[in-house]
Amino acid sequence: MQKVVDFYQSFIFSYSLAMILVYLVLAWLSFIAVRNYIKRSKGYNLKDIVDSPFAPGISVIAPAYNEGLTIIDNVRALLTLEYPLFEVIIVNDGSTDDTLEKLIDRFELLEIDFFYNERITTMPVKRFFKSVNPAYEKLLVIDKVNGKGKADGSNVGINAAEFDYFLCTDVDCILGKDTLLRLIRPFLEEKNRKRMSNRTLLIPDTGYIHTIGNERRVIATGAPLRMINSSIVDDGVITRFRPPVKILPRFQELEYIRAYLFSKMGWSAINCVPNVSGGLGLFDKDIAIKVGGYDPRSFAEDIDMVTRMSIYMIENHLKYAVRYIPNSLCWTEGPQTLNVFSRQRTRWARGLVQIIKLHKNVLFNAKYKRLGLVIFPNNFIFEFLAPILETIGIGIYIFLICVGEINWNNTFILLGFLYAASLLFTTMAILWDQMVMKSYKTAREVILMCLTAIIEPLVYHPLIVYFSMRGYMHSLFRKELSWGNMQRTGFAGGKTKKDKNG
Amino acid sequence: MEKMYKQVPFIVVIEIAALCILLTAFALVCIVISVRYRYQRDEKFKASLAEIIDNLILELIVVEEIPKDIEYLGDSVADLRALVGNVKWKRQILIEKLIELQWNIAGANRKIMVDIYLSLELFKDSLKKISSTVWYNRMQGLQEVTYMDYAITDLDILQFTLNSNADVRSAARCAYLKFSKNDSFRFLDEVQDTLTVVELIEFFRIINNSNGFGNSNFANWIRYSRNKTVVSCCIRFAAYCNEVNAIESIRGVLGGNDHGLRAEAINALGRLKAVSVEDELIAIYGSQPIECQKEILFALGMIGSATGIEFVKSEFLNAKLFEVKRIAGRVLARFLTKPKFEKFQSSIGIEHQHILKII
Repeated sequence: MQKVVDFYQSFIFSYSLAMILVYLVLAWLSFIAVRNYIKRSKGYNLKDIVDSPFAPGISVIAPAYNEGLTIIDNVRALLTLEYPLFEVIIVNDGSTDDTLEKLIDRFELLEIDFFYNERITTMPVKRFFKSVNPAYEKLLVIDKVNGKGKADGSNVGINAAEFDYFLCTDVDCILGKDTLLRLIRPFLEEKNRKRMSNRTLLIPDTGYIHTIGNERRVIATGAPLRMINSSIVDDGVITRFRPPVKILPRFQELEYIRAYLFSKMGWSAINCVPNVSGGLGLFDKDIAIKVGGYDPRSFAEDIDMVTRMSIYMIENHLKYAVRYIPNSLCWTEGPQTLNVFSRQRTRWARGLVQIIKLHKNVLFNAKYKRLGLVIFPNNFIFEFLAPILETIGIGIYIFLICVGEINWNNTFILLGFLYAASLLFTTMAILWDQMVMKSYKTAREVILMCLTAIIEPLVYHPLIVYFSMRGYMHSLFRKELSWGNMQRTGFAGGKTKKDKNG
Repeated sequence: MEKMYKQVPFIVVIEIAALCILLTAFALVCIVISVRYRYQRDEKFKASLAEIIDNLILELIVVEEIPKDIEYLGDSVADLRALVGNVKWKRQILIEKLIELQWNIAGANRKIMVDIYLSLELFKDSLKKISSTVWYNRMQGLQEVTYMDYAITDLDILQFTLNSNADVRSAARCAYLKFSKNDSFRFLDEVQDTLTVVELIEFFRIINNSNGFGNSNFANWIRYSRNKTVVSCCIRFAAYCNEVNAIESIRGVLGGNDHGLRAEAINALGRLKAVSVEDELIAIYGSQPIECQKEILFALGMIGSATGIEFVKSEFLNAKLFEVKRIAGRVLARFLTKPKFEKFQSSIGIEHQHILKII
């Protein structure tokens, strides 16, 4: 028995050390990536694209289900994005409230005939609407039968999209004005940093000789999402962004800062991004259609689609990249109650299990290069296994306490070590966020976020572990999943009043 | 001493590591505070700078003709000079502000920004950055002189077009394009990496905002360059500059395996109104992927000859793919005159009329 306990303790220590080492490498990579991005991206550089006829068109797709409370403000905000060529496609996913009626009324919509090419199979589409008012000529509203999730609505948007790139977002998210300008840049400036190869291609009949290119195609880009709870929003525009007052969304804000600015930026530096968030992602439409778009059966449709796009590129021997930029461009309302939060995290955990099961042939498979040897192993070892090992560890500690075999001194030192590491990485992530954009108005708010990091590992982390395990159990026993209702409080009037009261 | 270290238990090592980590975290919090402090300092400075610059520009912008000699600025910049002095970070903020303002002011009034840049000798800061060993300083310096029209010699720029850093190379190419008097596009000879769309966008911005360029023979690069992205870039330049001599070179690209490049070539031939290539385009149409078929239809529309328009009409009426019908319909709607389009509309069946309505 003692040997088993000793073995497990050594294993857990080695596992934790490995995880910390991975995070240290990510820290270094993300610092370089963030610093280089800041140096390259002076504000005036963005203006080049605004005036250019070479700026590719972008379709902004936002599925909506029962969003009557905030739909008008959010659509107005989407229509005022700064970009020379884009369209906004709102997919009304069988809403049972007055979402569609509000849209028709506010934006003067008229039902039209529309050339709809169903390249991805979806639930039936009922009607198409465009505005008679030229001010809203960019808006297309599609009414369809409910698809039991966001994926189906997104696929309808992809089918209807006019342009070569589409941005997928939630209709209740608020996007920054320069979101499209910033997200499209990685597509346009990706180059293989090495010199061209010496392999040449002779063009018959003409005698032209071209060097075979080694350029990479960017298939998706993403950017950080932030929590908008407690911020002041006026007509779909954030006038004052502040950290959430309630503790649960505040923890989530910290988690997002760490996940995007620390983790994903680090992975982006070595072209190993595991996924692009469903809340904000710009995708290559051609490749997305070739892989069948979003899968409505998936619990983590965003990871699933990016994985399939990556597999497609690898299997067709095409160089590709998935990139992240560190600017926060999307603000969303986080779950405010434990009930909603638990549903979200349980679903995410199930999604992870599903991804690993579905693409298990990719794991540790050298044929899939970075995807098989870096991304999937990282997801499996440090994302999927972590809650399981932690739960077993807690069980062993409880056992040792019961049998009186626990070495309290060593236990506290080890836990203290892990706690300190967690605090360090979170503080780093906050620093990267401050380097990129000074999101919060006052230094006090930043310090409060740093202080929140002190209690996060003690309060929030156990919740994550618990809900992840719950997700795994549901997955194991094939329990039926329902997306549930997010229970949004909205951005108008009432929220402004609340914020005035602090 | 060595024995002491060897006898230290591992757990103490962990303890020390945890302590170091906590100290590092504390140091990072101090850095966060310092970053915020610098940000707030910069914002305060920008606000005071903005006020002075806005007053200065308003004062000068109503002047009917801006003199060539920067002496006209006179005391107007004294306040600015007092504000920035020789403080590096203040001067940097001023340079960035001037560049931003340039984007928003059109015509001769942009010269005011340039004159302020020269009057306060801000170009020295940019030149210092160019001679730095750090890549982002070099890149920034080259961008600043390019945006602020401060000419530097070809020789000084050419060395950077071969730099190992891709961003420095891009900035150097833009600077060379802007300032070279002899052959502005000479740097295309040395390009051994891929030219990106962002670089293309910057090249065209420079071309649009500058007064004339030395004649460049794009046909040569289209014919002889081994770099596909240079060929693609030159095809677009040739179309933009209406270089009809390049038509034969572009025609040669039609035989290549790259659909993307072929599509660009077809588009350029349309913009150059290459009537001589029309028959060839119609002949190859059937064997092309849809991307190239779309470009052929547009090219025929741009060329606008009777044969070409008849072909587009026939594709609209007879094509099996709806996507092709849609593109053909758009070409007809765009390039036919209103009376001819209406005549065509009235001569077709109800189904085709419906398609024309929804395209």
